[in-house]
Amino acid sequence: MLHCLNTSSNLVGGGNISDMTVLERQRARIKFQNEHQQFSGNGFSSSHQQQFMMLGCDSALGEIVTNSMKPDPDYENGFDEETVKKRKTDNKVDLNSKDKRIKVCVEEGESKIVEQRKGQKNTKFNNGNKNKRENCEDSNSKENSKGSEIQNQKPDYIHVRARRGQATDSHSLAERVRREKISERMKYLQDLVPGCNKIAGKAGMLDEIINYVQSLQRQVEFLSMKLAAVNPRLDFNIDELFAKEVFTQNFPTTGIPSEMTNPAYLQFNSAQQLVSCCGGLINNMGIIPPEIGLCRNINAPTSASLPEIFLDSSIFTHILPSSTWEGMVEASNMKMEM
Amino acid sequence: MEAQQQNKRRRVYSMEPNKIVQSIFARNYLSYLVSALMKIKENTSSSKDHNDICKNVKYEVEMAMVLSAQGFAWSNGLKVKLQREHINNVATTEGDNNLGMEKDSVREDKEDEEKMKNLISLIPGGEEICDEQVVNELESYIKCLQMQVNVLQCLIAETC
Repeated sequence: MLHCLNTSSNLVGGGNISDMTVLERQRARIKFQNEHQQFSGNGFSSSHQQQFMMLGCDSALGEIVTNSMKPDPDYENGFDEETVKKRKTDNKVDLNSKDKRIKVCVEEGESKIVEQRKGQKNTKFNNGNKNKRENCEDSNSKENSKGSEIQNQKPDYIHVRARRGQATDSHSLAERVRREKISERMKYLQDLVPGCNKIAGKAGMLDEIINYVQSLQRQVEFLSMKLAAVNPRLDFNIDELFAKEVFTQNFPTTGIPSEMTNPAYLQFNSAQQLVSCCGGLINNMGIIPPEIGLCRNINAPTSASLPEIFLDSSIFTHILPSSTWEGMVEASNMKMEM
Repeated sequence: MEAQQQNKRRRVYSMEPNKIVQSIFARNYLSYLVSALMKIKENTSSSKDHNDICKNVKYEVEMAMVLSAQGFAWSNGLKVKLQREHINNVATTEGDNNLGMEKDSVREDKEDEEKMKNLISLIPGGEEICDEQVVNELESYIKCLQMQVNVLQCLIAETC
């Protein structure tokens, strides 16, 4: 075992895993395979060989791990699909048959491997090697049970990793990674689409989402047609009223995050809406005097508060000060023009 | 100019375009749509075809959507589609897509990938969105659709 560690450190001495070429990794792996053949005389099972092989070899371990197991979508470092493909093309001589055992062994130290591969630092890896070894030694007795567990865990997206040996695996690997990322984010969509909370399956969720988007689009179409029918009778005296209505209705449905203090925000935004609506109307058409009076009356009491709201950026610091400031300034300019 | 600068800054500096869009979507949408509708109203005094009015209104409705929700891939896709259709004076193909998708989605045994493809095709410009962003775009698109429906309903309710 110590020998393995030494050789691993020699291997790694050159640099990070990423620095090593594919060829070097192949050589390393073959080296360790040969070295571990010697252990068979000691009575280790072939599975143990694999364990130690993985323990010892630093970069080769990373390769074996990646080649024998499916990629973990949770990797922060980005499980490079290119590197996976590279590894796919490596020699798959002896490890094909031992895939399962490798999985078995590694699952114990899986989390550690994950962390190490995330860091991809030699030091981390070397430190973890010893821990892994201990874990694997302990797990020798539980191999079979663990094996079955791993088999059961395969559908679980956390433990999913690619099996090497199939030429088409690189594509399915990428596919799997992609699908799992998407399925994670589906959870966000569950909140958006009403009635999706009860549906657990991804397929049902997708169906719901598709139906919902379609229905929304159809609704928009229908409403626009209705609007076209109503168009001749359009009357904008009551713009200010529905401006407020729009906001009170919009906020509950869109679920504005709570970090925006709703009352202050509503007040602010409705004033802005009044301003912009009135400004827009005034710019486009001659305003009927009563409207002007109405607009000005509404704006007058708030004009004092508006500058205060401008100064109070606490609401918008959560979002983005720069861009929203521009919006506010523009609206206030429109008001001034009136 | 200012508006362009505004938009540029939004795209450059915004880390959370979703929240910004939510906060000012309704305002921008209404201000654009109302003025556009007034223009249409004035133009229709010359007794145009009802279909033309419908097309114009649809165009304005979707244009308002595009302008109120800058910074998303789907809004660009929608803008491109609108420009194409406006030039060709073709009725919006969105409805046709919907019908097509409806038939597809009714089928029982569908692969997840196919469903995703359907979903992506529903988003305007969805084919050009890279896979990782699909769900983000979907999220913002659904939110904006909801807001748009709300705004339109209010508008109609108040003017009927």
